[in-house]
Amino acid sequence: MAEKMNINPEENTGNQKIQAETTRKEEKKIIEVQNLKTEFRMKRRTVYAVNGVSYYVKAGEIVGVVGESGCGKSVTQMSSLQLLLSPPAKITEGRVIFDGDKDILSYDNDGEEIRSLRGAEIAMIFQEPMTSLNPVLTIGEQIAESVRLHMGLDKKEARKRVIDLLRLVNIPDPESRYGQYPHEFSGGMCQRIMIAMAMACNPKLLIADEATTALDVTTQAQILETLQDVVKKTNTALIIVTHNLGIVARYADRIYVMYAGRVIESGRAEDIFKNPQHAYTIGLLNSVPRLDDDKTRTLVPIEGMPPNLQKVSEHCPFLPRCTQALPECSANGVPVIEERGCEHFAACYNRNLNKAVHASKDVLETKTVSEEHILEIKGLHMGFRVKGKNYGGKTTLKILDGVDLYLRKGETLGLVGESGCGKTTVAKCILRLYTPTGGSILFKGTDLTGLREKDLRPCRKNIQFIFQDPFGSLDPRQTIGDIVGEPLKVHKLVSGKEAYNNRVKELFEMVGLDYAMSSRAPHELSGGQRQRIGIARALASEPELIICDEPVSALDVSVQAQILNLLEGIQRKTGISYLFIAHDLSVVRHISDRIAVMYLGRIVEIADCDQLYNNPVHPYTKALLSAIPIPDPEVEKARERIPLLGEMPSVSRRPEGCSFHPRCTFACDTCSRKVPELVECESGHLVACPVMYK
Amino acid sequence: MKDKLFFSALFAKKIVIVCTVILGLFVLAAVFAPVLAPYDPAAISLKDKEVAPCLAHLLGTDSLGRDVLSRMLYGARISLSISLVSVLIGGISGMVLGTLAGYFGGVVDMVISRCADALISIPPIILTIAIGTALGQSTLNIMIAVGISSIPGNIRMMRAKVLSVKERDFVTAARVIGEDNKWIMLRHLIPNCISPLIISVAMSLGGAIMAEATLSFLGIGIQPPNPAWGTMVSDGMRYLETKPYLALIPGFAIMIIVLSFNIVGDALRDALDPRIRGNS
Amino acid sequence: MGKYIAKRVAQAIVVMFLVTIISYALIQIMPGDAAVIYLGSDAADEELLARTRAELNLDKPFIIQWVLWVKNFMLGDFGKSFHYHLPVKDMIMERLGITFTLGLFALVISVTVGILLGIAAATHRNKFWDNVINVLANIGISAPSFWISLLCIYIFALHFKLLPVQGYVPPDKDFGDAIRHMILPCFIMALPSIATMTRQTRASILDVLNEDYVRTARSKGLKKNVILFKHVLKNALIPVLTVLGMSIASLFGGSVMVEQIFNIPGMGQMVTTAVLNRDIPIIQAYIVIISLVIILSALLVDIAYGIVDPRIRIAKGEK
Repeated sequence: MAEKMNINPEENTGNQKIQAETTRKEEKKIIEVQNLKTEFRMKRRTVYAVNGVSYYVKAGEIVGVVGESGCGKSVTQMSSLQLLLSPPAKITEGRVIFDGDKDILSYDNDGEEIRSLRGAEIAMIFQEPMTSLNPVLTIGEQIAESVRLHMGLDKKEARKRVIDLLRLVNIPDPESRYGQYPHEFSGGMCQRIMIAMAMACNPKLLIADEATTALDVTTQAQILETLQDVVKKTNTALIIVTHNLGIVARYADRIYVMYAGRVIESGRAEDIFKNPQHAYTIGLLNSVPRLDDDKTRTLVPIEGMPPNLQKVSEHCPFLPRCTQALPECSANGVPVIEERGCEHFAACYNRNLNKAVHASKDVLETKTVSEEHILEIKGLHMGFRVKGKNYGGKTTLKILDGVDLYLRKGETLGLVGESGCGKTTVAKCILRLYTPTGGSILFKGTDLTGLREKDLRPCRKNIQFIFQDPFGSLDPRQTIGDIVGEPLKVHKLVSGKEAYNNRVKELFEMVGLDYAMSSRAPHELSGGQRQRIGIARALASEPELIICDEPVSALDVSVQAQILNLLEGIQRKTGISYLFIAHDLSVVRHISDRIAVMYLGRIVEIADCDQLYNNPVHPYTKALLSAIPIPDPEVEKARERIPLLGEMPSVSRRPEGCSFHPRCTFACDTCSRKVPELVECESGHLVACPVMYK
Repeated sequence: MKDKLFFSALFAKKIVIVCTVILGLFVLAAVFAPVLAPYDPAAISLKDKEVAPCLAHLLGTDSLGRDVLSRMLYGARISLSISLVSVLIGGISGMVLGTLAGYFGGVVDMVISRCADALISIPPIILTIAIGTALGQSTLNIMIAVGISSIPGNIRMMRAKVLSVKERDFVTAARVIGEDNKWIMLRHLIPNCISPLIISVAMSLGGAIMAEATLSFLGIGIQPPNPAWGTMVSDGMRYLETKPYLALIPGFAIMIIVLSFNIVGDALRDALDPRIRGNS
Repeated sequence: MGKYIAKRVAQAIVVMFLVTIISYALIQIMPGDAAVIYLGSDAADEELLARTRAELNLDKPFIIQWVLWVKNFMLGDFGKSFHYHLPVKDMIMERLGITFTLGLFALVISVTVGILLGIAAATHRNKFWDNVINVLANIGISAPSFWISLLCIYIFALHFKLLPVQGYVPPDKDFGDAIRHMILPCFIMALPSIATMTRQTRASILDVLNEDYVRTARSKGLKKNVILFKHVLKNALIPVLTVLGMSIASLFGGSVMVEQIFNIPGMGQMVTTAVLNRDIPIIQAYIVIISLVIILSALLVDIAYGIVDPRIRIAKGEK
């Protein structure tokens, strides 16, 4: 017998009896949240962050909560433990039943009862591992604190338990690391410590709130695997809160999809992905790039922006962005969440949703890539002088250790690698924001490395840059019109006020913005609109090459697709070349013609897009691809997972020989001695691994 | 819309409105002192000496028979002009030096920062006294002395702000576009760094008034017969037991004005800081 | 850690030298001839004037003058007072102890009272006591100390006759009387520091309360007081240390005024008299000594930073 979920408050009372009966038959519900409403009351406005959310988690179950930023997924979790600071937060309605009989919201905030649950029965892991640990206390002390408080162990026993916990989460050498401070650990390690802390008292429920968002993909995979292992071993229920559809597809048993402070769809992972029943879920799946995508797939973005939560919407909150709305959607109130199948519920009036919205764009229009090399980088070295251990002594930190690349006119080269691998440094060297310590950068035959700042300035208009952070890259004191027009003034590209205005208008139109907005300040724009301004500014001087440094990673998934499509469209129109830097291999796959993989300041593999994804050769490339979850539970089940050993070392301790060999399962003797060179293994496919390719 | 929000944030507390009104009255009194003052502030009339507050002399007269109210009004003039000029001296020099130190770093930064450190390790009041003594006592020299003692703090603040703003992407963007250092500093850095400096300068107006009053009280500031509030307190001190109002009224005026500057400055800072504005 | 300290010591020495330049430059910018001021009415004697100039090294270039002055200073010769024609060193030594005693008491008062009030205000955020403390702190910063002094003298000494009006009694002579004489001056000297200390403590506690690790501590189920005293205070007091360093400077600044009003024969009173007499050597020596104390305390504060904050201790030290 399927159970009924009570999203609608009116149904609550009537169904409570039935519910109580079903609970007994089913597996025990660890936590059950009913009709939770949370708002933030500020002086001049109220934000209705959570508008009647209900969910439950059964013992030992892994539940995923997905949604874009601002959909209320984190606030929901924080509310259920009364962790939000009040004021401004206020839980106005709802019940949270834990372990059958504990009514959490009836407890005094920070009172005795709720404190005996926090950390002991329900534990949480947060997004920023580095700032979530107290910088002035040792990590051992911070974990031991919890153990001593809830389990009543003495100092010695606590220490023993902490060391066992650290071992459980794979922290090497736990005895000696017990007394270290958080800043002595990497982000991934800090998150492991947070997991150890969360698991310290054998909680019944663990909540991971965007626990891996701040981490690199391979670290993310490691952490999630650890988490999955630990909860399965101890039969702990786990809630994974994330914006990443791939993660929930890979790890979750059941999924809740949230939008505008409501659960709009929930169900078993396979059902959600295979048979989505809400227009938003479908839109989300259509806009997300997948690692296993066909090269010809066009992303279909969800146009518009998530609603402003300062007022409670009268209709379906997704209505303004919905392409499959029916007349009744605007006639009726907010749709009630209803059963659509076994454990599958959705809040959508349209029962006959079109699931595969097909490419609306002219896919066939191909772009032309000429053989001319617009950019050629040879043996690029970049080092920073840093203070060494001795007084006054300086050592050089080699960030780039011989990078070779070329870029053809009109093509997109993807440059991928984890943070700290040097990909942004390559970009900054090309832009001469850094002066390389060795090698050459030929742009259309001119070597940029030797140019003086004064001679360089005229060249700058040919190579432009798009930044990762759409908030920081626009001067908050200028209007967006001035920002876009600035390159025109600097290089005196137009003469006269009228020509200037016309050109700015043209640029606004090129990136899909209304010129009427040009007198606005950047902070009045959404993230996606700002990124469009950044693109317009880069286009202003009609460059031949644009370097895009993670241009979509700060944006919500539905907006990512808009920007990716825009960049592709511009390339088709103008024949511009892109160097596209990103850590997300599924995004890179979509936009790139060729892809280069970097590891610790060296290129380890370059290939055509399809070659690289279908036939990766370097062990690092393989591990990197394997670490990225695909938003499809069925595909995920069939995938082979290649675990990576350890973490990427800092460049100051670059291993001898192949820098990847300490983490490589295939490494042999020669790997630790000789730096492998890039060798062509098939046409256009270069690999720096003599073991895999002889 | 934005300005409306700003003003409603600024005047959210009643005390801020009260203080703004007080400051407004202070400025009016200073500007229109010649019109408002019932007597000549320097006119000595020994037959009217030490008159208690009455209708003819609202705040009484001092030991030389000068009208206290008139002297207070003219004193407001001196306080306001000295604090304005000195704060401008300190603010502009601090802005220029701080921007240079923060933007160029290296040797430039080292020289400027160490000099600021040296100035900061002399208590401001002592630095002001020393410079005032060495320059000789004139109104301009007092302005310079008070101004110089506020330079190091402004340098530090501007430098720290420039250091953080210079790392922001839009400055990199300006370099990528091909702008030169002068353009970057004038168009991007200073406009983005100036608001904390303006706030601090607004707040230091109170401090400057206090510094001038202190100098005058010690007898090394504004020289008699000019009516400075600090001098009036020190003159009145001798009659503390018999006529306490002679010393306490001008002192109270100094406190209220300085307090108002501080409270309005605080409110200004909070209103301009979007982080605080969003939360409260 | 050792390296970090060494770097800070080197910086402090540089700054100290700059201070000596600044204070020596005072003679240079002073209008008129220092020798004339030194001699007073005897300046008419041309020969004596020339001899005095040579004696005061005024005939040499600025750099030489400065080097000689610093050298003498380090050897313990602070020069002679222009006005009293006595060795400045002896004059200062007589008064140093008095000012330092006052300053020390005021410092202790301002640290304890300031931090306690700050904690009280932060834990009662936006409630009655927070507002009261906030208003008091604002007044403490805004009220001119000479005026507060007069007000206190008027109320406590003249009106209620609880405390002496002014003067100084050495503690070894009559301890009780000495304390009674010190209550008002110490409290008034401490007032601005109490106020800044309170505000800084409150602000940084509120900042730290917003940190992610406080959320972590709460999610562990710790008691409010454990979170406040173990997790919050240790972090929040780090910026308060900086204010402590600056307080020392403002305490010395305040001593000038307080000693003058309460007629306490300390260095502050000496320097006020020196200013009125244009007795530059005393002012110079005073500046150098006070700055030395301030620079040393800033150095101690920075070292204390390193001890309190493991990030500095390890990042900047040798591993």
